[in-house]
Amino acid sequence: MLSKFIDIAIIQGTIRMATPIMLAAMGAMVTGLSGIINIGLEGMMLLGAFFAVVGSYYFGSVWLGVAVALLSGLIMALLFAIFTMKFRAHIILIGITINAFALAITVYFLRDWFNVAGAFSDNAIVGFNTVKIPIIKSIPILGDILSGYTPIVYLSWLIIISMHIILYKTPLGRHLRAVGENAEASETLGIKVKGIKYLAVILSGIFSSLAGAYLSLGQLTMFTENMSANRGFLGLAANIFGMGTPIGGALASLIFGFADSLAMRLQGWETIPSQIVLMIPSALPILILLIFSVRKKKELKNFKEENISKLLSGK
Amino acid sequence: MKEFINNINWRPFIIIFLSLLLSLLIGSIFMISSGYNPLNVYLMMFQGAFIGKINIMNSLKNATPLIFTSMAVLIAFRTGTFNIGVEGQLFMGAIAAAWAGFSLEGLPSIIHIPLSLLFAIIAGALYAMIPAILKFKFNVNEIITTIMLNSIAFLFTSYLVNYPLRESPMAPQTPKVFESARLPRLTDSSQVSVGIIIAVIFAVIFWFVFKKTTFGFRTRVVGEASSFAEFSGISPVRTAFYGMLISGAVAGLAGGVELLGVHYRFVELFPTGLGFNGILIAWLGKGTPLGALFAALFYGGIQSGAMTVDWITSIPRQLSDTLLVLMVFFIAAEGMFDWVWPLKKKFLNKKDQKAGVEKNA
Repeated sequence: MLSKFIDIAIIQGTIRMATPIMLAAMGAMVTGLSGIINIGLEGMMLLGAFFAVVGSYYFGSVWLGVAVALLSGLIMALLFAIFTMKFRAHIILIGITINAFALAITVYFLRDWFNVAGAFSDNAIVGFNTVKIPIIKSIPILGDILSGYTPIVYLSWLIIISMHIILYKTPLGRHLRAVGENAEASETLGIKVKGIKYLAVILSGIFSSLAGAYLSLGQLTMFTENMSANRGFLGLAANIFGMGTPIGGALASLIFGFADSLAMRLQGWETIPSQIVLMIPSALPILILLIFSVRKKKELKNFKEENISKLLSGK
Repeated sequence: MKEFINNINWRPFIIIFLSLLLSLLIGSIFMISSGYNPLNVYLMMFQGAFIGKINIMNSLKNATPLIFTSMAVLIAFRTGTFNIGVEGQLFMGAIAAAWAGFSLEGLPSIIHIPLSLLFAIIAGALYAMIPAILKFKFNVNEIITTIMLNSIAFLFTSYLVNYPLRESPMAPQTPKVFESARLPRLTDSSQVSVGIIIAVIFAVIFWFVFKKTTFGFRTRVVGEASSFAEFSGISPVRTAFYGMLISGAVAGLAGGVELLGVHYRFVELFPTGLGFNGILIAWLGKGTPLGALFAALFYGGIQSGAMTVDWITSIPRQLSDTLLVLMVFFIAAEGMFDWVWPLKKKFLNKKDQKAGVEKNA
C-alpha cells in the first residue's frame, strides 16, 4: 500500500514542489529574524513569476527572465521597506496590499500586454532545462534524487547553505539576529538597525521573486493567474515550524512539498474526491503549527516548574 | 458653524484626497501607455459608476457585500486581531444560506429569509472559531491559519457543490433557493436587493455601538491599549476572541446576503476577493464604520465604472482593483504626507502676520 505512493518519482516531486516554499521560507526567515513580518512574500512571488515570463519572452533568454523577476522583487521589497519603516504603514496591511496588487496587476497586464486572460504561454518564452550533476548522477537511487532538476533548485540549496553560514559564522548574521532580539540594545551597540532591516526585506524580495521565476520558468514555461497559490504563506509557516533556522525551514518546506506532491498523486485516485485530497497541503501547516505550539507550551511549563522547584529547594 | 468646521479633524480627508489623486495619476500612466486619454477614461468610468439608474443600481449591488466584509474586518481589527479569513468565512456563510434556502420548504418569506441568514451567520462564526481557538488557546499565528482555512473553504464548498449538494450532473452547482428565501429586489432591471438597505442599516448600527455603548468602549480600549484594558479589568484576550467570532458572523452574513440577494444558488465559481477587498476598503475608510460604508459605496461605483470602460475600450476591468490597491497603499503610508502639515501652519502664520501688521498699522 505504502510502496504504491512512496517511490523515487514522489521524492523528486517533493523536492520540486518544496523549492519555491523553501525560498519563501528563507525570505520569511531573514525578515522574521530582523523582527519584521513579511506577508507580502506571496505577492512578490506572483510578480516574480509574471515578470520572469515577461523578461524571457522579450529578451529570449531564461536568465534575463530571472533578472527581470529579481528586479521586480527588489522594487517591491524596497517599497515594502520604505512604506513600513519610513512612512509608518501597518506592516500586515502593506503585506496584504502587495498581495492584492500582485494579483490585480498581473491579470491587468496579461490582458493589456498579451491580450490573454487566465494564462499566458508562448513559444517565445524560454524555460529552464534540467541539469544533471556529473558524478552524482551516476550514483544509484541517490543520483535520481539529487540530480536532474532545473538550476534554481540547486540555487535554492546553495542559498540555504549560505544562509546557514552567514547566520551562524559571520558578524552580519550575529547582527541580524541581535536586531530581531532587541533593536534598541543593538542600536546602542553600534549596529545599523535600519540598514540591517532594509537588507533583510530586500533579501526576502529577491528570494521570493526567485521562487516565482522557478514556478513560471522552472516548473512550467508559462504564467497562470494566481500561480503562487499560497506558497508564500506556506513559506511563512515553514519558517515558524523551522524555528527561524535555515535548515529547519528547509526541512519544514520539504514536508509541505511532500504534501503537495502526494496530493497531486492521489488526485488521480478516484476513490477520494480531488477536493478533499487537495486540502492536505493547506490543512497540514495548521496541524503542524498546532502540534508545535502545544509542545512549546509544555516545554515552557516544564521549564518553569523545574526552575520553581529548584528555587524552592534552595539550590 | 465656524467652530464646527474647526473641530473636524481634516487630516484623514486630506490624506484620502491626496491618495486618490496619486492613484488616479498612476492609473493614467497605464492608460496613456495603452493609447487612451486618461481624462476620457475617467469620465467614462464616472458615468458608468454614478450616472443613470442602471449604473447606480449596479454600483449598489457591488457595494453590498463589501460593506459587510469591511465591517467584519473592522470588528476584528478594533478588538486586536487581523481577520484575513473573511474570505473563507463568507464562502461558508454563502453555502449555509444556500442549503437553508433550497432544503427548507414551505416557510413564509418572513421566516425563511431570516432563518437562512441565521444559518449563514452561524456558519461564518463557527468557521472563525477555528482560528480564534487556535490563536487564543494554543497561540498559533492567526494569519497563517486563516489563509490556509480560506483555501480549505474554497475546496470544501467546491466538494459540496460537486458531490452532496449537486443539483444535476450538468454543472457543479446547488439547486436554486426557494422564492421564499430570496431577498426582494429593489428593481426588476438589476440584481440589487434589499441587502443594500440591510447593509447600510448594519453599518450605522455598528457605528453607533462603537461610538456610544460600553461594549464599543471595551473594544476600543482593547484595540488601542491592551495593557490599559487589562489594568481596568477588561480581558483583551476574551474581547479579541469574541471580536473574531462576531467578525466571522458578519462575514458569513455577507455571504448569505450575496447568495440570497444576487445568485440564488452556490456555483463552483462563487465570486472571490470580496473578503480581501473588505480589508482594503476598511482601510480606505480610514478604519471607521462610516468611512468604510462610504468607501464601499465608492468602490462599488469604481467597479461598475471599470466594467463600462472594459466594454468600450481595451482597458481591462482589473483597473478597479489596481486603483483600489494603489489608494490603500498611499492611505496606509501616512508618513508619506508629513510634508503637508507644516504647509498649513506656514500659511496660517503668514495670515496671522499679515493681520498683525494691519492691526499695528
